[in-house]
Amino acid sequence: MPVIAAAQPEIEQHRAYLLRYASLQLRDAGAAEDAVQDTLIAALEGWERFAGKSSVKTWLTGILKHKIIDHIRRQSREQPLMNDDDDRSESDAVDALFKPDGHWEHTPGNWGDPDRALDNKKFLEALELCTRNLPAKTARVFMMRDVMDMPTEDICKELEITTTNCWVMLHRARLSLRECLDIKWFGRS
Amino acid sequence: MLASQQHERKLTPWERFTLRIHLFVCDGCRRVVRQMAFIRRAVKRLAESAGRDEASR
Repeated sequence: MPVIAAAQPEIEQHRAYLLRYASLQLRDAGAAEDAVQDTLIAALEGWERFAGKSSVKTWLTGILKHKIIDHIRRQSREQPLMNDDDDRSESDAVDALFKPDGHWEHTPGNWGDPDRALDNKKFLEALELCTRNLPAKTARVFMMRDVMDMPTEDICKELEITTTNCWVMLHRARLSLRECLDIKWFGRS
Repeated sequence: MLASQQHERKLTPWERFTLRIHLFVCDGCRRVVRQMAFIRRAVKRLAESAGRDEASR
């Protein structure tokens, strides 16, 4: 199979990237490895149909997204993520950001031109740490929305949660990431 | 909350109006809106970062 032999290095070179993408999303090294493995196999099988309509990386990411969703679907059937405790501590944490009258406890600081941080490896490490501090289910909703760009309705359907709940979780995720970066990176004193 | 929801759905005209008024008086909230958009760019970059690390090695 000469075509597949030629495709293999083209596909393999993106393995590390795919693995990172999957583990951010799934937070489980074994599951991420499986999803990437399935993606690479599917890509080899579908190589002839690919025909270079997009970059190899974009195409692989598209396949991986499906594999990640398959995994989430299987998992939510077998052992749904329970987060009642998380839910409580998290809403307390968000409440702590505001005074009883609804004003900010600490007025959000000025981050200047934050995009300069995007090329800083240390910043990305801090951000990753902050995402890992999010409760599992909140992190999952947030990643599906802001990294995988899935429509909110699809996320709700996959995770079997209401749209309102989905919005609340996204809002909390963004607020707590903001808070975390404010402290860990943008140096709130 | 409305500021976050505008990423998920089209706000009604009334909601857009109240959000604008609120942002007009709340400096912290304006910052937060910008920072949330930045966080979105940043997590995308984080997801892509391994590919670049590999390439630069």
